Amino acid sequence: MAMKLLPRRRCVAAAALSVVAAACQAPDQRIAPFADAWGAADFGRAEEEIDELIAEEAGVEPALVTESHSLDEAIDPARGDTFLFLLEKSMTRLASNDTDAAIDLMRRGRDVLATRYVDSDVKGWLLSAVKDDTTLEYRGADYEHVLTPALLALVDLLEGGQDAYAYALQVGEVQETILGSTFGEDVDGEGNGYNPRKQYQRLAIGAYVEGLVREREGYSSEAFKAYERAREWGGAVPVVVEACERTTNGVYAAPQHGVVHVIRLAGRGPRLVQGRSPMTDAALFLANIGSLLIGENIGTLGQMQIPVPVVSSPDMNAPELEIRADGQVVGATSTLLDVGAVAAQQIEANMPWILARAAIRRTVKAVGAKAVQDAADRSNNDQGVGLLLGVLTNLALTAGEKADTRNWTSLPARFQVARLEMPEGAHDLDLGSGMHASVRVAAGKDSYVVVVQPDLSKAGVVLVDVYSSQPAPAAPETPAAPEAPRP
Amino acid sequence: MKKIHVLFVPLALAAVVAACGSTGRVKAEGEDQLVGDKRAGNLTYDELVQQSTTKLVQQASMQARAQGPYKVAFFGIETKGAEELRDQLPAIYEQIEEILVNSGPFVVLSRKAVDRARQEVGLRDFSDLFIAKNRDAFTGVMGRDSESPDVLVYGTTTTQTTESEGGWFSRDTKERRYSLSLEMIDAHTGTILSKVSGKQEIEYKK
Repeated sequence: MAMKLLPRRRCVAAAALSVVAAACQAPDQRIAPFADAWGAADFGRAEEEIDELIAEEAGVEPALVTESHSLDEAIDPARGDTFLFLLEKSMTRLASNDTDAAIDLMRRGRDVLATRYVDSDVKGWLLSAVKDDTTLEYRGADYEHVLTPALLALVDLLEGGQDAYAYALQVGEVQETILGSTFGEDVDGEGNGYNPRKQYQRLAIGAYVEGLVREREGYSSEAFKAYERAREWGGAVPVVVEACERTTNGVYAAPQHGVVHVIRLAGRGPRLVQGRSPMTDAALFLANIGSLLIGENIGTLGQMQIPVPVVSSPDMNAPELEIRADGQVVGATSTLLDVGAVAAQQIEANMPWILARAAIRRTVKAVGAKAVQDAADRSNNDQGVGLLLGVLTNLALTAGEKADTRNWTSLPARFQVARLEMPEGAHDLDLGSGMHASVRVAAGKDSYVVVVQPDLSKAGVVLVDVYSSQPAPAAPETPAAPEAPRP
Repeated sequence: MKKIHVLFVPLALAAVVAACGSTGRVKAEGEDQLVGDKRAGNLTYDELVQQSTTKLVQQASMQARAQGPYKVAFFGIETKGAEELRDQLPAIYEQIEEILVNSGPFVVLSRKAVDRARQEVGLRDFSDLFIAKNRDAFTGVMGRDSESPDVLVYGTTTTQTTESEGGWFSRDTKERRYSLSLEMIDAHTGTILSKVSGKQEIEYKK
């Protein structure tokens, strides 16, 4: 009998293994070619890679993506993860000094993020727990919701800053919406639950940009209020402390001086990779409360380690940038926002729910495996077959589990800022690693320099706002080359 | 009979899917415009532009008419509210220019020339226009191209927001007041010739 069953067992095992093998690429593997190229400051290759992903995700021809810079109306940002890839694309456009396209792409990303934001629908979120996290619509990490308008504000400053204040206000709006969320707070109607967003810290970047715009316009007291918020939320960042001091007791700049703001997007930002975590008591507690809503009982036995997203931040300690002019140090940047640390903090805060969902999902799968086992037992006298089928089904269903490792990979590790007071006139700023910025400083005016440097060992891209960039020197007239004699 | 059912289901599904696809239609003249459900849309900005520009022209034309057509450099609109204008701007500019030109005493200078001159003299903020040195630099660059303006026009949008939480039977509500103010100043003296504004309030249900 045992001999007879062997081929059947082999078939079942092979089928189970093929299910496991068919588990498609994890999200972090899918984005890896782009993220690696971006991290190596190979912007051209990064753009090619992301164009391919956009075409694939949006279901359009690659040529359409490339030719339109992903702005063609046929590219639906809300289709699958397209918007996430558009956000990546916006960074490659920024690196190409195409601020116009960068802003349009970020706005599309922001609008999809807004529609996918989940505030309090825990039940819906738990009911979808039967699916693998990676099969769900990507809703964006909360810090991505906040950083999208923040980046819009910074990029808009390069274009003249007409909408920069609006974007800075949006940072505050989004942030307050997230922090005011009641998600997970009261799952069973009896006050039991856990709200991960209550663990978050506010990010100072929006308030800083708001202060910067207000100060530029001469509204010192309003600028001070914004800077003070930035100080309260971001700690004693030197540039923010100085801003508070300046807008209370100081002046914008010395006579005949202007201000150059250097904003450095330093290093490779957080990337999510798959790790494993044991089931925790907090997660099981949430899973059991959640199970009341979805009508399943959570088994506490046999919960193996669960694949979870883990933050990888290779440039978490990106050093500050020293800025020189005429061989003299004129200032250094301060880190306004450590994106890697924020991402890690938010993932950790959300971990109990990530694990709880996994526990619920595994319970549902175990119920399915038991059904397979029961069916096999009814049609077969050998109890071993049913047990084997049940175990293999459960194995097939759980072995393919993947952590949701989707995230915006081209964000910087750190947002670093410096404020330099400089005499009016043309200046050449030495930004290290062979990077230079030619800036035209006007008295009483702001100039903005954005440095995109994902690879800290290489020169990045230096962008200067349209009102401060030096007019390109007129091309010398070259005499027309004599026509080659015809053969 | 069973075969008909089997075919009917996918056909019906296909019909439903087809019905859910993207469609477009030409709206009839006078038909109501959509009001944005999260941020201001065409309706709001059309109204604001119409209101404020018409007022601006009414206030400024009496003086302008007496002295002949004035060359207007339209600087643009800056956002001081919580919503960016970005893709609304080209249409807003067109509407404002159209109203100015059709009002009689104004001719509008090329916006591209204005933008280029602003960039050349580093004139980022509209408040720069109140400093004689900046105005002179700007009119100088424009004048070099024989298009020295007589008056300068710019606008500012603002928003004011009030939010209220919903109850058992009502949703959270956000009321937002949008306003567009336009200013016209003398290009030579910097004197404000006219300042007007238009307002509209939108209620959003979350």
